[in-house]
Amino acid sequence: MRHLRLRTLLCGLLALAWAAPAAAQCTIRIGGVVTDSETKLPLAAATIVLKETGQTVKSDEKGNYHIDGLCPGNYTLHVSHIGCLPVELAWQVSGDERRNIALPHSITQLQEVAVTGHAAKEVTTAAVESLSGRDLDRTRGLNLGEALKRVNGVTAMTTGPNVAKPVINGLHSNRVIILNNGIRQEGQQWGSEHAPEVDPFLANKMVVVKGAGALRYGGDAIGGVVLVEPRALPVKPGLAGEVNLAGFSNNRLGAVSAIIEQQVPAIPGLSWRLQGTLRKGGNTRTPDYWLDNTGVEEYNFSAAAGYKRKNYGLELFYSQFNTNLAVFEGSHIGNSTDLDQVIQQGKPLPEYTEGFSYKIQRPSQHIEHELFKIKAFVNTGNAGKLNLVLARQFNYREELDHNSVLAVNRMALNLTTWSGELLWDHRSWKGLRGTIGASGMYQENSYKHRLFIPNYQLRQYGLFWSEKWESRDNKWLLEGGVRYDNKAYSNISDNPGNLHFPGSDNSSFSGSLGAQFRITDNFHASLNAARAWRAPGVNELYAHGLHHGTAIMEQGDPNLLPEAANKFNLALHYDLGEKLEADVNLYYNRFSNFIFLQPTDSNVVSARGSFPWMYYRQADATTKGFDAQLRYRFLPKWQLTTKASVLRAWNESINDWLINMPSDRFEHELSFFPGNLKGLKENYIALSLQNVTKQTRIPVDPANPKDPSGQDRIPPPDAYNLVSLEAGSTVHFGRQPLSVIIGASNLLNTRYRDYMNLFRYYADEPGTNVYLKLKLPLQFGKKS
Amino acid sequence: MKNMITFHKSIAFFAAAAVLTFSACKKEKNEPDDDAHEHENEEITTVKLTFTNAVTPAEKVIATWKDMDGAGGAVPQISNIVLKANTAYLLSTELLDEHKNPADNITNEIQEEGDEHRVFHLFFANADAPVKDSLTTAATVTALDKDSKNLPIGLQVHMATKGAFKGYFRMVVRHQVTGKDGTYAPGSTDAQTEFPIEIK
Repeated sequence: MRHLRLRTLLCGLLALAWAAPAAAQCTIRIGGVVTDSETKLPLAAATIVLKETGQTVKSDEKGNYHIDGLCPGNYTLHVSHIGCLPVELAWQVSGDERRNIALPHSITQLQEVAVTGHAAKEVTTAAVESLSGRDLDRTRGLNLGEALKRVNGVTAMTTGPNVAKPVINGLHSNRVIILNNGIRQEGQQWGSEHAPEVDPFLANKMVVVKGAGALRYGGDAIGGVVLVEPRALPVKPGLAGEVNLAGFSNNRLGAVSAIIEQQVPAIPGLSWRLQGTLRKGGNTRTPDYWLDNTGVEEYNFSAAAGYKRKNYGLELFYSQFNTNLAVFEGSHIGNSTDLDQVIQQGKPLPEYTEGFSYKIQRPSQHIEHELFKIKAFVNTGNAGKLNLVLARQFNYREELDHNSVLAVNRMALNLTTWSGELLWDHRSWKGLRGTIGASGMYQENSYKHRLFIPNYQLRQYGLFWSEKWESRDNKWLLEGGVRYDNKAYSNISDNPGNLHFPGSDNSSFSGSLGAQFRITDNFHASLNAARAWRAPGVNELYAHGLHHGTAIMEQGDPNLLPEAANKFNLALHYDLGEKLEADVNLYYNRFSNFIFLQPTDSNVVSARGSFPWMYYRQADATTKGFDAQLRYRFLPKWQLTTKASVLRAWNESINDWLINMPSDRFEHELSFFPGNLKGLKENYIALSLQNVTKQTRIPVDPANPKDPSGQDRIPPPDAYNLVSLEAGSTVHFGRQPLSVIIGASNLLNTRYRDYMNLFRYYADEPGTNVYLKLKLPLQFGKKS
Repeated sequence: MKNMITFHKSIAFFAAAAVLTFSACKKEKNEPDDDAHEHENEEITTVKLTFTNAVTPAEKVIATWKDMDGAGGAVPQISNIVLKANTAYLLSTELLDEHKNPADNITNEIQEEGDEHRVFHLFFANADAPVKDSLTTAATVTALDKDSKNLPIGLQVHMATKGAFKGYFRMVVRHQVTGKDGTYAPGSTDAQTEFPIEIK
């Protein structure tokens, strides 16, 4: 016991000393406009009571209301006005958000309450989009990368059917930070075939922050930030839960996930939650053939407990993610001669396309990720709130190659990360709200068997300060922040001790400044400028060896300089509630020392044959483009949604395009809402068409400028169109609702390949996939 | 007072939870391999080809391909092969792991898993050429050893050279777990080395 206590203390101290950013901000402001649902006129002097905190505000003469100083969590708003029916509204608050509330007239409206337009909008000058509610339900059963594709401007970089990682406006991996329940995910993000080790069922909301505005999460989020947010622990007494089921026909994948949570009635302030997910799928089928050995299994769980009083609170969170992934054998080629052979055939060998099986054989990957987090807060009088977050992550990845007696046929990486963060949120002071914080992190990696990423130790610390100011009439919002970071790698070596790599130590400032002007309550414009800075990642510095699957010898460069970006975003948002919503986000990013993998003509000769040699290098680059979307209810029951995402990425140093950037894509969805039928509510049918253009902007091969493959091995795949159909409803069995979604993706069984999928060399994309998703919210005992 | 007790209870609960979870700490200590070269499998460092004149067995040509530091690093040391034209040779192929002392002979593993392996010896005009460009005009190669299904393995071959030739000689070990049918296509490559060759 003595030992344990000592260790606990040690662990805690260590984590305090070194860590990474995260945590809750308790300076949140929510607001919006209260209107009369019939006349559409603003309602002055409506009373808004926040039931959890007792805060009461009244709307002003233009119907504006706002409530300040909230922490993230679940809240209930009670809105009342003379002559109107009072309305209660549940609101999961995770950041500054606006929501307009339409109050029904007591005289005419006897119907149940149709409260607001739609989901709350984040109030920030950064380009933010989120997935929650029905939109999130529609992604259930998919992995994180695939689910995030629903967000406009986010694509997925994939390696076959099971591995996908998010790409935000063309940037990914080391340039995108994923926050899993507030903790920066420290997995092995470097490879394209390393998917984020996160269970999407954990999330009640996923937020994508495009651009580098989110300084509090790190100065290095050059591409953006993905927040995977569980719902806040319950505050109302009672036991509740939710069961999600999803089934897919193509690879016969089944997923089940369940949550159970309680606010313990006997101990006010104490709540807990347990959550678990199982997922298992077999081989995937393309329109013409099966892909043998492409199964997946996943078993995840998490537990959370929190104790919260008025002036202090403590929360513990523990989660585990475990997966076994089969790697398509036809993609695991021996050397570059083999790869050329596969490309020439145009399709995998018959021995790799035999049929369906759930069996996971070599080559395969086994991945574990464990997160433990402690979060605590103390109110510091009326001035603000002090937050402390400590976390430990453990990541284990094992890659098993072909079962050959002739090679070191496996690689294992162990990555352990300790992180801590201390934040002070100050409440409104002359309209200013902000956060000052310090964060630190210590990480160590050790490998076994085959060398690719050497052993290393990493220390990182950062200091930041951000402020936000909103004018009294809510017309203007100004945001700004600065951050200083230092990142240092040391003790880098291989196991035999033959190779010693020089360390790397970098530090710099990053900052952002943004303004939003609310021209009318329906229309606002935001401008954000940021300087982001990223120290080279471990793979960029020290990769050494063969990257399997791609049959490429990768070589890092320990002398790489940090990558810096100046980023500009202009966002326009027009919102007429249910009727119409349009937004466009234009961006321009200028990079100096952009790090990328440069293909070469040289080959590395080994006993396994020769492999193309690629190395990490730097260049000046620009990326620019826009994401636009329009949602228009052109008839009372019909809605059209159109999304467009356009990107141009240019290497300024050689005056040519950047390689591996997503092509332009467009998506149209036509939805029909039949209205509520007997026992069936929230019904919809949606037909969608996705159009992905051919990537014609690729760098040319200087030795052979006319080669359509450019610097790649094959030319980019052709454009494609995919049709999908989906229907959903909420069925009520008495008081028990059951949400049902049934649909089919790639309805026409279209044969295609995608430029962002490494499998474009080996095989086609999956064919038709019919799915069924069920969600069953549970409330045990009496509803409060 | 009651509040105080519940408060203490909660603190105790959290402390217990924290101790339990942090005691998992030892899991993250990852010791590197005790023995730097302790691999479950062999790493090929050396390929040794022994050409024995079929008529005068005393006449031998030995060629080696050697790379001690694995892929990358120093360039492998590769012998030039010089053979006589219009001559029959018996060619035996050996794969060695010379990290071990004495050197480990991996050839036996191929022999034992003969059903899953096929060794090819191919001639090319150019280095690193695609397999389809292999030439049959330099020599006729016939495997002498057979697996349990009577398919050739290729560790022992008979090679009859033809006229004068200058180019490259490639040794390939194909790993064909399923689908071995004697041809090159199935499976993937386990080992592939190329030697400059001259037949005169």
